[in-house]
Amino acid sequence: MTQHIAGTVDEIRARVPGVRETFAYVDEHVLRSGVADPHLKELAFRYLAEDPEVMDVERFAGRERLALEWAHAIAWDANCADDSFWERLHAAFSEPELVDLCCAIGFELGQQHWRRTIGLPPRDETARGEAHGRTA
Amino acid sequence: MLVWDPEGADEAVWARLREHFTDEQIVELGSFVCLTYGQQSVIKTWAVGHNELPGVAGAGLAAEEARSS
Repeated sequence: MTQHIAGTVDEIRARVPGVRETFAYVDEHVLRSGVADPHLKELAFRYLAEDPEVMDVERFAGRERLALEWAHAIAWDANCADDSFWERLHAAFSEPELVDLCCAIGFELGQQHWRRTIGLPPRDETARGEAHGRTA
Repeated sequence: MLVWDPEGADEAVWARLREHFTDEQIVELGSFVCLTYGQQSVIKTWAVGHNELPGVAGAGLAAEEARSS
């Protein structure tokens, strides 16, 4: 895969100070912290990157399953987020958790696509195993 | 392309981009699209469309565009 702009993700973003500052803020306040369980965010980020270890949602239950299903709805089929799905979400999460989790998934989705257009993998492999799904 | 076919951004696409934009402009434009795409995808699961969120008409637009929207 050819990388079309040289440098790390942080170096590429640093070419435009506003971009660097925006993503640093999102990274610190949404992707790496927040009120939703960090493990659930990481699971959803791996699903967006099509990590084969998490793509079979049938293997998961409870809040993990819901986080994966929501990642699927956000990335591929918003129609999956029907009334019955929202009832299950509200039964399992507080509203602040719902806002935090879905915004994190949205930011991560966009970032992964942006990385792929540049010729980078959707996630930084060295980030795997870190506590909170850092992607750059 | 960023939204529907990221891997389709091949050498030819990048050559065309660089005919019109600097690398800094490409980084900024791509970042704008990535943020907008991600958050639009989120609000679709809320059954809300672009520019339909109460109180944030013009969100995501440049300041001049937002004022005239």
